[in-house]
Amino acid sequence: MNLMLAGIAWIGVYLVLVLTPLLILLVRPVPGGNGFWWDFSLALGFAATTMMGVTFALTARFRHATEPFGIDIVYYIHRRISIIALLFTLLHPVLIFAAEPYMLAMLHPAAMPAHLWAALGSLLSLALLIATSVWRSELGIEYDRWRLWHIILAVAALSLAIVHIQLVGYYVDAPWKKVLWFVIPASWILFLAYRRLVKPLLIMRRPYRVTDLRAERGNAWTLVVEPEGHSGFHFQPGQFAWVSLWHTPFALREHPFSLASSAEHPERLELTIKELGDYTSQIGQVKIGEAIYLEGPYGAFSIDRQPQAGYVLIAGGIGVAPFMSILRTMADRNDPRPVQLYYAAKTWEGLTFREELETLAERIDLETIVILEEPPPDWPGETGWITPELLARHLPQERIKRCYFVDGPVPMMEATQSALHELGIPAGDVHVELYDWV
Amino acid sequence: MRRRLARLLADISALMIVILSAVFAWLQNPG
Repeated sequence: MNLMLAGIAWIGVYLVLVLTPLLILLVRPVPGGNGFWWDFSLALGFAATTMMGVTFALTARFRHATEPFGIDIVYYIHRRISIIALLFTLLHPVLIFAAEPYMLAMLHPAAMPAHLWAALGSLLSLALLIATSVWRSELGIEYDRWRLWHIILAVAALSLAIVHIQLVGYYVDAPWKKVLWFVIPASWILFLAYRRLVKPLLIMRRPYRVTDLRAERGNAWTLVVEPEGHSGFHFQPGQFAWVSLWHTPFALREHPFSLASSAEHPERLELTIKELGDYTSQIGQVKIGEAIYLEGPYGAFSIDRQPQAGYVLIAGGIGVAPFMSILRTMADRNDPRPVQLYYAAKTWEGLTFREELETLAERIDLETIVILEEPPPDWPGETGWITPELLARHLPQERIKRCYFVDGPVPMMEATQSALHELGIPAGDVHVELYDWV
Repeated sequence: MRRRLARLLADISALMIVILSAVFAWLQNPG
């Protein structure tokens, strides 16, 4: 409920930020009304511009402001608001041309005034920005390249919208309104400056050093890092950090990785990374002593936020990494609460942390259910995928009193959430980390 | 759950922006 209230409070702040610049336009001198649909479309256009601005603040990664919700959800809202802003940006000209069809003649390239070129540039930048974000994987756009273009297109969309407003001059013809409607939307770009210049500088002042590199089962590597000249950061088991390796934090090449070590030992952090792409396949080449930068902790995916009687952790592949942090932390805390770990992987040989899970079961009340996609011939355990039937076979009687955490590939997480729903587990007790924003 | 709540809040706020934009237009064009 507190989360709901905090959410409503932030939405209130958001509405004030979006609507105040709009209300300023009603302060005299005000041009006369030009018909309801005309003025409605203008209001939507102005609102869409400030909405574009607000999205800059949402990705500035203010740790304390985002903490109650988890930064994944803040990025989700960033995406949702951007899509709504695009919708309003599209509605703006559609309503104008519907109200005043003669204005369509202005769209002829030979006769198009500068303010319309700016509007078209803004609209196309925003549309391209959203299309490349929603369908990045399908379009085969590499993450680092996407980030660079995301920034360029975002700045272009907002700047060109401001240019359009200033050149049209309607509603902002008074000099003080002109200045205000330049300063307010443009100042949102300062959040980008904070995120890309100030924040990296702060991160660079707190460097880490790679002190060990371990090969794990399943083509994974564990990087052990220790803070250098500072005390590091405290985190909750299950949280993650953004990692800059081989580059300073000023570079766009940073990646979010789960912290896999015990939260009781923040002086020695471990990140377990599977070789999956261009970047992660080079982790094995990291040199001991190499500098590394961590920004965090982030995320709401933690047992420390859900003090329940017991836990059910459901992992697909390397999605087990945050659960290792949870289990190791519970062991260090002598936590007596029961935990079930459902661990789906391809092969028995490639089961990351296989041996350590056996050791952990001697220290805490842990039951591990391994589900193999390609089991060995004499495999006595579960095979295939995580299904409602499979879960029902193993879940304890008091399943409603447990808290559920799911982490793995997106299709696996979606299927598991449906399975849990089918078994009558309340949605509020099922926690997932959203990955489709990176 | 969190995603559903976030979507709900974002969509409600979008609706409020539409309503207030309509109020803006109505204030400019009363009657």
